[in-house]
Amino acid sequence: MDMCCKDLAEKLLLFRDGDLPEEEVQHLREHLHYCPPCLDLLNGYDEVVEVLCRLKPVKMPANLCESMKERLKTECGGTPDARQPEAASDGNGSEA
Amino acid sequence: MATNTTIDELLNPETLVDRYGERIYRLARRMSNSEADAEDVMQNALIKILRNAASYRGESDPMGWIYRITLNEAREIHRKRKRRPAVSLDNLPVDFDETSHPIGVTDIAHRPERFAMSTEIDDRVRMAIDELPDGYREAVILHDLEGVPYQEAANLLDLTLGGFKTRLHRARMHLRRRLEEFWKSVDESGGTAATDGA
Ligand SMILES: [Zn+2]
Repeated sequence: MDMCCKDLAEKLLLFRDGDLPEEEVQHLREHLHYCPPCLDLLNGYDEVVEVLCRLKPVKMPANLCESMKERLKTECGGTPDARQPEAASDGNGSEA
Repeated sequence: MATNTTIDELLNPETLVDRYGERIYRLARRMSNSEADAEDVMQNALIKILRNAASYRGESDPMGWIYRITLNEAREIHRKRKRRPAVSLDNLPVDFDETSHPIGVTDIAHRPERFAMSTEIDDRVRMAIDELPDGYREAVILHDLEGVPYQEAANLLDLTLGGFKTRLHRARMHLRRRLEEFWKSVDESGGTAATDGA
Protein backbone atom coordinates (compact mmCIF):
# COMPACT_ATOMS: atom_id res chain seq x y z
CA MET A 1 0.00 0.00 0.00
CA ASP A 2 1.40 3.32 -0.93
CA MET A 3 -1.26 5.97 -0.82
CA CYS A 4 0.16 9.37 -1.37
CA CYS A 5 -0.74 12.01 1.13
CA LYS A 6 -2.23 14.27 -1.52
CA ASP A 7 -4.89 11.69 -2.40
CA LEU A 8 -5.44 11.06 1.23
CA ALA A 9 -6.11 14.66 2.08
CA GLU A 10 -9.17 14.54 -0.12
CA LYS A 11 -10.29 11.26 1.40
CA LEU A 12 -10.01 12.74 4.85
CA LEU A 13 -13.00 14.90 4.03
CA LEU A 14 -15.07 11.81 3.26
CA PHE A 15 -13.61 9.87 6.18
CA ARG A 16 -14.46 12.63 8.60
CA ASP A 17 -18.01 12.69 7.31
CA GLY A 18 -18.35 8.90 7.41
CA ASP A 19 -18.71 8.70 3.62
CA LEU A 20 -15.56 6.76 2.82
CA PRO A 21 -16.07 3.15 1.60
CA GLU A 22 -15.12 0.55 4.20
CA GLU A 23 -12.16 -0.90 2.26
CA GLU A 24 -10.62 2.55 1.91
CA VAL A 25 -11.16 3.29 5.57
CA GLN A 26 -8.84 0.41 6.40
CA HIS A 27 -6.10 1.74 4.09
CA LEU A 28 -6.47 5.18 5.52
CA ARG A 29 -6.25 3.99 9.11
CA GLU A 30 -3.02 2.16 8.30
CA HIS A 31 -1.59 5.23 6.64
CA LEU A 32 -2.52 7.44 9.57
CA HIS A 33 -0.62 5.07 11.79
CA TYR A 34 2.73 5.96 10.28
CA CYS A 35 2.07 9.44 8.88
CA PRO A 36 1.89 12.08 11.62
CA PRO A 37 1.24 14.95 9.16
CA CYS A 38 -1.89 13.21 7.83
CA LEU A 39 -2.98 12.50 11.38
CA ASP A 40 -2.46 16.15 12.16
CA LEU A 41 -4.58 17.08 9.17
CA LEU A 42 -7.34 14.77 10.35
CA ASN A 43 -7.18 16.24 13.84
CA GLY A 44 -7.54 19.64 12.22
CA TYR A 45 -10.70 18.55 10.47
CA ASP A 46 -12.06 17.02 13.63
CA GLU A 47 -11.40 20.14 15.55
CA VAL A 48 -12.91 22.51 13.03
CA VAL A 49 -15.96 20.40 12.29
CA GLU A 50 -16.60 19.85 15.97
CA VAL A 51 -16.36 23.52 16.76
CA LEU A 52 -18.64 24.37 13.85
CA CYS A 53 -21.17 21.84 15.15
CA ARG A 54 -21.10 23.56 18.50
CA LEU A 55 -21.82 27.01 17.17
CA LYS A 56 -25.02 28.33 18.59
CA PRO A 57 -27.87 27.29 16.33
CA VAL A 58 -29.68 29.92 14.35
CA LYS A 59 -33.29 30.20 15.44
CA MET A 60 -35.92 32.12 13.58
CA PRO A 61 -37.46 34.82 15.81
CA ALA A 62 -40.84 33.62 17.06
CA ASN A 63 -42.98 36.26 15.39
CA LEU A 64 -41.10 36.37 12.10
CA CYS A 65 -43.09 33.59 10.46
CA GLU A 66 -46.39 35.37 10.76
CA SER A 67 -45.01 38.81 10.01
CA MET A 68 -43.30 37.44 6.89
CA LYS A 69 -46.61 35.99 5.67
CA GLU A 70 -48.29 39.34 6.17
CA ARG A 71 -45.50 41.16 4.35
CA LEU A 72 -45.74 38.72 1.45
CA LYS A 73 -49.47 39.15 1.17
CA THR A 74 -49.07 42.92 1.14
CA GLU A 75 -46.14 42.85 -1.25
CA CYS A 76 -47.42 40.27 -3.70
CA GLY A 77 -51.15 40.87 -3.36
CA GLY A 78 -53.99 38.59 -4.48
CA THR A 79 -53.27 35.65 -6.72
CA PRO A 80 -49.60 35.29 -7.37
CA ASP A 81 -50.32 32.80 -10.18
CA ALA A 82 -51.62 35.61 -12.31
CA ARG A 83 -48.37 37.51 -12.08
CA GLN A 84 -45.85 37.57 -14.82
CA PRO A 85 -42.78 35.66 -13.71
CA GLU A 86 -39.69 37.80 -13.45
CA ALA A 87 -36.84 37.11 -15.79
CA ALA A 88 -35.59 33.74 -14.61
CA SER A 89 -32.06 34.37 -13.51
CA ASP A 90 -31.95 31.99 -10.63
CA GLY A 91 -31.43 28.68 -12.28
CA ASN A 92 -35.15 27.99 -12.38
CA GLY A 93 -34.67 25.66 -15.27
CA SER A 94 -37.85 26.96 -16.83
CA GLU A 95 -36.27 28.61 -19.83
CA ALA A 96 -37.25 25.79 -22.21
CA MET B 1 -39.73 17.29 -12.04
CA ALA B 2 -41.77 19.59 -9.83
CA THR B 3 -45.30 18.42 -9.10
CA ASN B 4 -48.35 20.66 -9.03
CA THR B 5 -48.46 20.20 -5.27
CA THR B 6 -44.94 21.59 -4.93
CA ILE B 7 -45.78 24.55 -7.10
CA ASP B 8 -49.02 25.21 -5.21
CA GLU B 9 -47.04 25.21 -1.97
CA LEU B 10 -44.58 27.70 -3.37
CA LEU B 11 -47.34 29.96 -4.62
CA ASN B 12 -49.08 30.25 -1.30
CA PRO B 13 -47.42 32.57 1.26
CA GLU B 14 -48.76 30.45 4.13
CA THR B 15 -47.36 27.12 2.97
CA LEU B 16 -44.25 28.70 1.51
CA VAL B 17 -43.26 30.22 4.84
CA ASP B 18 -44.43 27.26 6.94
CA ARG B 19 -42.56 24.73 4.89
CA TYR B 20 -39.41 26.54 3.78
CA GLY B 21 -39.22 29.67 5.96
CA GLU B 22 -37.01 28.23 8.67
CA ARG B 23 -34.35 27.01 6.25
CA ILE B 24 -34.44 30.22 4.25
CA TYR B 25 -34.05 32.21 7.44
CA ARG B 26 -31.17 30.09 8.71
CA LEU B 27 -29.19 30.50 5.52
CA ALA B 28 -30.03 34.20 5.38
CA ARG B 29 -28.88 34.69 8.96
CA ARG B 30 -25.63 32.78 8.45
CA MET B 31 -24.92 34.89 5.39
CA SER B 32 -25.75 38.21 7.07
CA ASN B 33 -24.05 40.28 9.70
CA SER B 34 -27.24 41.42 11.34
CA GLU B 35 -30.72 40.29 12.16
CA ALA B 36 -32.15 43.13 10.08
CA ASP B 37 -30.15 42.11 7.01
CA ALA B 38 -31.23 38.50 7.45
CA GLU B 39 -34.87 39.55 7.47
CA ASP B 40 -34.36 41.62 4.34
CA VAL B 41 -32.67 38.70 2.62
CA MET B 42 -35.48 36.38 3.66
CA GLN B 43 -38.20 38.75 2.52
CA ASN B 44 -36.54 39.43 -0.84
CA ALA B 45 -35.99 35.73 -1.42
CA LEU B 46 -39.58 34.85 -0.54
CA ILE B 47 -40.93 37.50 -2.88
CA LYS B 48 -38.75 36.24 -5.70
CA ILE B 49 -39.86 32.66 -5.04
CA LEU B 50 -43.53 33.64 -5.04
CA ARG B 51 -43.18 35.57 -8.25
CA ASN B 52 -41.33 32.82 -10.08
CA ALA B 53 -42.95 29.72 -8.62
CA ALA B 54 -45.61 29.46 -11.34
CA SER B 55 -42.92 28.83 -13.90
CA TYR B 56 -40.76 26.58 -11.71
CA ARG B 57 -39.90 23.41 -13.62
CA GLY B 58 -36.99 22.15 -11.59
CA GLU B 59 -36.56 19.25 -9.18
CA SER B 60 -39.47 17.88 -7.18
CA ASP B 61 -37.64 19.10 -4.10
CA PRO B 62 -37.29 22.83 -4.75
CA MET B 63 -34.82 23.41 -1.91
CA GLY B 64 -31.86 23.75 -4.28
CA TRP B 65 -33.69 26.44 -6.23
CA ILE B 66 -34.75 28.14 -2.99
CA TYR B 67 -31.22 28.09 -1.62
CA ARG B 68 -29.88 29.54 -4.84
CA ILE B 69 -32.34 32.44 -4.73
CA THR B 70 -31.59 33.02 -1.05
CA LEU B 71 -27.83 32.97 -1.72
CA ASN B 72 -28.21 35.50 -4.50
CA GLU B 73 -30.28 37.84 -2.34
CA ALA B 74 -27.77 37.49 0.49
CA ARG B 75 -24.86 38.26 -1.85
CA GLU B 76 -26.71 41.32 -3.09
CA ILE B 77 -27.12 42.75 0.40
CA HIS B 78 -23.65 41.64 1.40
CA ARG B 79 -22.18 43.62 -1.50
CA LYS B 80 -23.91 46.78 -0.30
CA ARG B 81 -22.59 46.51 3.22
CA LYS B 82 -19.21 47.71 4.29
CA ARG B 83 -17.30 44.71 5.40
CA ARG B 84 -13.84 44.05 6.68
CA PRO B 85 -11.72 42.94 3.74
CA ALA B 86 -11.55 39.18 3.36
CA VAL B 87 -8.24 37.45 3.94
CA SER B 88 -6.27 37.23 0.76
CA LEU B 89 -6.54 33.99 -1.17
CA ASP B 90 -2.76 33.82 -0.99
CA ASN B 91 -2.99 33.63 2.75
CA LEU B 92 -5.39 30.73 2.77
CA PRO B 93 -3.81 27.37 3.37
CA VAL B 94 -2.84 25.66 0.15
CA ASP B 95 -5.01 23.02 -1.45
CA PHE B 96 -4.16 19.34 -1.71
CA ASP B 97 -0.78 19.79 -3.27
CA GLU B 98 2.81 18.77 -2.91
CA THR B 99 3.59 17.23 0.41
CA SER B 100 2.10 20.14 2.17
CA HIS B 101 0.29 19.39 5.33
CA PRO B 102 -0.59 23.00 5.71
CA ILE B 103 -0.30 23.52 9.40
CA GLY B 104 2.20 21.67 11.47
CA VAL B 105 0.52 22.05 14.78
CA THR B 106 0.16 18.80 16.67
CA ASP B 107 0.95 19.72 20.22
CA ILE B 108 -2.28 21.52 20.92
CA ALA B 109 -4.57 19.56 18.68
CA HIS B 110 -8.17 18.88 19.41
CA ARG B 111 -9.20 21.30 22.06
CA PRO B 112 -12.97 21.58 21.85
CA GLU B 113 -13.60 18.95 24.50
CA ARG B 114 -11.54 20.98 26.96
CA PHE B 115 -14.01 23.80 26.77
CA ALA B 116 -17.68 24.14 26.99
CA MET B 117 -18.47 26.20 23.92
CA SER B 118 -18.03 29.73 25.10
CA THR B 119 -19.49 32.89 23.71
CA GLU B 120 -15.96 33.98 23.00
CA ILE B 121 -15.15 30.94 20.87
CA ASP B 122 -18.47 31.34 19.13
CA ASP B 123 -17.62 34.93 18.23
CA ARG B 124 -14.10 34.04 17.13
CA VAL B 125 -15.32 31.30 14.83
CA ARG B 126 -17.95 33.57 13.32
CA MET B 127 -15.32 36.25 12.73
CA ALA B 128 -13.01 33.70 11.13
CA ILE B 129 -15.81 32.54 8.83
CA ASP B 130 -16.69 36.11 8.01
CA GLU B 131 -13.17 36.99 6.93
CA LEU B 132 -13.06 34.17 4.38
CA PRO B 133 -13.36 35.13 0.71
CA ASP B 134 -17.02 34.87 -0.31
CA GLY B 135 -16.92 31.53 -2.12
CA TYR B 136 -15.06 29.91 0.77
CA ARG B 137 -17.39 31.39 3.33
CA GLU B 138 -20.35 30.09 1.40
CA ALA B 139 -18.83 26.60 1.21
CA VAL B 140 -18.52 26.43 5.00
CA ILE B 141 -21.97 27.87 5.59
CA LEU B 142 -23.70 25.57 3.12
CA HIS B 143 -21.96 22.31 3.98
CA ASP B 144 -20.63 22.59 7.50
CA LEU B 145 -23.33 24.74 9.04
CA GLU B 146 -26.43 23.98 6.99
CA GLY B 147 -25.60 20.38 6.15
CA VAL B 148 -26.09 20.69 2.40
CA PRO B 149 -24.44 17.58 0.86
CA TYR B 150 -21.22 18.04 -1.13
CA GLN B 151 -22.68 17.64 -4.58
CA GLU B 152 -25.63 19.94 -3.96
CA ALA B 153 -23.42 22.56 -2.37
CA ALA B 154 -21.03 22.28 -5.32
CA ASN B 155 -23.94 22.83 -7.71
CA LEU B 156 -25.09 25.87 -5.78
CA LEU B 157 -21.64 27.41 -6.03
CA ASP B 158 -21.24 26.34 -9.67
CA LEU B 159 -18.22 24.22 -8.81
CA THR B 160 -17.18 20.70 -9.65
CA LEU B 161 -17.26 18.30 -6.74
CA GLY B 162 -13.46 18.33 -6.60
CA GLY B 163 -13.38 22.10 -6.74
CA PHE B 164 -15.85 22.31 -3.92
CA LYS B 165 -13.88 19.92 -1.73
CA THR B 166 -10.69 21.84 -2.32
CA ARG B 167 -12.42 25.03 -1.36
CA LEU B 168 -13.93 23.54 1.78
CA HIS B 169 -10.58 22.07 2.73
CA ARG B 170 -8.84 25.42 2.45
CA ALA B 171 -11.61 27.18 4.34
CA ARG B 172 -11.47 24.64 7.16
CA MET B 173 -7.71 24.94 7.35
CA HIS B 174 -8.05 28.69 7.67
CA LEU B 175 -10.55 28.23 10.47
CA ARG B 176 -8.20 25.80 12.12
CA ARG B 177 -5.38 28.31 11.97
CA ARG B 178 -7.57 30.89 13.67
CA LEU B 179 -8.65 28.37 16.28
CA GLU B 180 -5.06 27.50 17.07
CA GLU B 181 -4.31 31.18 17.52
CA PHE B 182 -7.23 31.39 19.87
CA TRP B 183 -6.22 28.33 21.92
CA LYS B 184 -2.71 29.71 22.17
CA SER B 185 -3.94 33.05 23.43
CA VAL B 186 -6.10 31.21 25.97
CA ASP B 187 -3.10 29.18 27.13
CA GLU B 188 -0.97 32.28 27.44
CA SER B 189 -3.57 34.08 29.45
CA GLY B 190 -3.88 31.33 32.02
CA GLY B 191 -5.78 28.59 30.32
CA THR B 192 -9.49 29.16 30.61
CA ALA B 193 -11.90 30.40 28.02
CA ALA B 194 -14.89 32.17 29.45
CA THR B 195 -17.73 29.71 29.33
CA ASP B 196 -21.32 30.60 29.52
CA GLY B 197 -22.67 27.51 31.17
CA ALA B 198 -24.31 24.58 29.40
ZN1 LIG C 1 0.30 11.01 4.88
